[in-house]
Amino acid sequence: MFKDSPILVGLEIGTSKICAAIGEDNERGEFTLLGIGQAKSHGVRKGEIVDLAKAQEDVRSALGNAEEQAQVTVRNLFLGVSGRHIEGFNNTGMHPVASDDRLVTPQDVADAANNAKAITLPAEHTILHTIRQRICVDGVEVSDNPSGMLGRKVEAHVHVIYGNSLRIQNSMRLVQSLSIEVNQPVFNGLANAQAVLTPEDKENGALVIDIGGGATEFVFQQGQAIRHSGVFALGGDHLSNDIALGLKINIALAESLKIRHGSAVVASGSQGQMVPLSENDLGLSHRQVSLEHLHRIMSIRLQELFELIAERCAENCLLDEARAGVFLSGGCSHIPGIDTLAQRIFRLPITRGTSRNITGNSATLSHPEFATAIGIARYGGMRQRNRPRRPFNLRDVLPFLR
Amino acid sequence: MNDASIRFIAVGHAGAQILSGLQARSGSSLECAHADTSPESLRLSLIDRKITLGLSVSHGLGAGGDPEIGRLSAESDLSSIHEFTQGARLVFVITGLGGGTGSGAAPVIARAARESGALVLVIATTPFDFERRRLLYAQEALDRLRVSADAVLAISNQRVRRMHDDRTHPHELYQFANELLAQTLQGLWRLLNAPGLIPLDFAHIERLLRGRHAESAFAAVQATGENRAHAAAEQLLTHPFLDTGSALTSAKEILVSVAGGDDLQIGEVERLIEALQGRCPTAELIVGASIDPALTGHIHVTAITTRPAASAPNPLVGSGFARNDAAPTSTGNEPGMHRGAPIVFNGEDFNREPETRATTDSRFIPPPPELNIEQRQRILSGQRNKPSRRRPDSQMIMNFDIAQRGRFDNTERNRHKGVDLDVPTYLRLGIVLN
Repeated sequence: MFKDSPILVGLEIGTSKICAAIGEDNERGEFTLLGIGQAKSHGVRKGEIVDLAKAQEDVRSALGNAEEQAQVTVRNLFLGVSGRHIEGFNNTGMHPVASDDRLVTPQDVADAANNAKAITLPAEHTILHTIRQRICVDGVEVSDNPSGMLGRKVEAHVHVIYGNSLRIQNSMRLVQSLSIEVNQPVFNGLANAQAVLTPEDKENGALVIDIGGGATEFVFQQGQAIRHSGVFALGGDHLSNDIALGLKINIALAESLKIRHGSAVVASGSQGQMVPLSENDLGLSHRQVSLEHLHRIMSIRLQELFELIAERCAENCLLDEARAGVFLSGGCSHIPGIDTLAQRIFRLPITRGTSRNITGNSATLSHPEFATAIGIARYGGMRQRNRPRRPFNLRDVLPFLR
Repeated sequence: MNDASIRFIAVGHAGAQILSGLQARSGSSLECAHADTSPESLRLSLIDRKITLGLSVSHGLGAGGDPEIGRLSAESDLSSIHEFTQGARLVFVITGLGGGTGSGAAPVIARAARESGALVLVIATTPFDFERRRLLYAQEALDRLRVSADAVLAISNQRVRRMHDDRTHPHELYQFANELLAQTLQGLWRLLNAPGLIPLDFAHIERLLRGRHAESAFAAVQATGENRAHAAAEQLLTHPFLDTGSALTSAKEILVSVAGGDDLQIGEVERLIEALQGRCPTAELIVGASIDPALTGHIHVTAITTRPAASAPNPLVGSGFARNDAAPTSTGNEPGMHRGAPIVFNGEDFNREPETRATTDSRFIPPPPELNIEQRQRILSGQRNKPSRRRPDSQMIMNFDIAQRGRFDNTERNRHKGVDLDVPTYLRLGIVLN
């Protein structure tokens, strides 16, 4: 039964919540969401695990919820990873066509792609993904499979996503300690794009920004290729922290203030307006804070975040190619006015990303904060369709650990 | 080099006293000027060319002991300084530091002279040890002069005082110091002007001094009699300007100019050089000799030395050189390196242990002005209105990290292009919430 419709599980260990998505994939590539489970996250800061025991407890509870909903038992899963140690960059590998007749063979293409992977990474870093962008024969861009063509050299342009292997291993060990196998670590941003973008969006070129609790991932996808990706260790936590410091209140109050009254733009009516800090009256006098200040603090932080991303994308002149626009997902995409702010900075159509091309409980799918977990499971499905199923071997990812 | 390309500027009253002495010694053929903030002092001056500084600043009252007024005055009359130094190749700035005009105006004038393309040598006297406030001003002025001039020779009045007993009349003391300075100046001037037997010219001096910033010192002595060559060497080796000779023994290069009358003998020059070389084994001697019939019976020796820029010189103790005994440094004296020099006496290691000889960089690259933190701070604080007497490290650095990162306090810094992204954006951008 499992062979016909493999159960796919995606687990995202986020800063604010831990989310597990269980779904199944049919042979036509349609993905059905069976269950989703989430738990508040306690042991994660800025996308990276800082307290193993707490994180383990939260993962257990999130997976339990999802299992209950989907009525399955999770044995293996795809694990989403994030954090500022993850970087993406473009590289080119070249391979000369050796045969006398200059006929390009699949081996030549594979060699060129392998050469592109042969890069010097910082110590203790490992490649998470290598995504082919395009193949060129003698400098002319050709289809994905140029075998049979004539040429002197094959060039493979790839996007390489790499991260600190020890930190990746941290979250993998956490899952393994629950007796669950990790098929493969998946970069959250990449997975998120798979959930949010339709094939048309991908074709047109789109920038997907996932603003989570502690980290923001961005991926620029065009066709099947990732043109750019990266992580900033900034997110909703920073908004709350800024508010707490700026308005001199505690983090929990700041958090609730952000959710109840937050805005990414300074609303025109907010000048001089005061909002009460606490709603439940325990006989204590209400403290009030200025709504304008709240909005300004949030607006400046988010604006900076978008500017950082825009700056990175502008390095490769990518923003001009994002014809499908910018897709926002993650918890912070709920903030009112965030689309207006993003529009102001990117000058592109802004879409609040929800999981698409997926069947299942539509109420769940429309939540942008679940997109990553769903995307991880979906990405796993794509991987499994493309290659025979094989448990993920730690040694494949961590060659230096031998 | 003709006379016109060497100019002398006396700054302030003390400078004028020294320069008048020089003028008296060498006749009126020198191109001299007296720059001062006090019209009274200018009126009394024996120097023909007078430059009034800062009439608009001090309204004819002088600097009143405030270097800031001296500085402003000089800056307000820069054009007349430029006018005087225009076309000069060598400018001597002669001053007494510690007062308002000398301490304030001399660095400005030295800089102005340098801007007009001349090599600038500063001859300065510094106050007695009991003049506390003037000593501070002098120290600051020296630091500034080091930056603006090519070489600074400072002679401390206290040093001169030590050479005399307690009953000496103060006037006598000043006279003596001025005499020494005038003698040295005259020696330099003669070096550049007298017809050369073994010629040394401006180019040699320039090569030696340009860009050295006070890592040089000079002195002139004269001797007569039977054994005059040896006596001159002895005088040089104990000369106060040369740090009682230690400037010579630790020198890297010594330019020696010997001037004598018609009776000058080559044997005398030889003995003199040998005596010097014997005491300064690590130095390379560049020797010139000239004949002046007026000097018959006398021998005049002028020495200019440089040594690699190392420790900060402390001129208040007597000369342009630090008194602390820096490790003697020397050159590897490859023959042929100095083809331009008239005579090269290769320094040979006579008495020293081999390890005392340290090789240094090629001496064709002038060392950059080396300022340590204290000096830099002093120069910076000198740009304020009043000299700072606070210790340079007394300013506290406020710790901005307190509570700024909030809940991210104990996490890895989120650095991006030099800023910590964990710190609230509004704080980093300085946006005020009120």
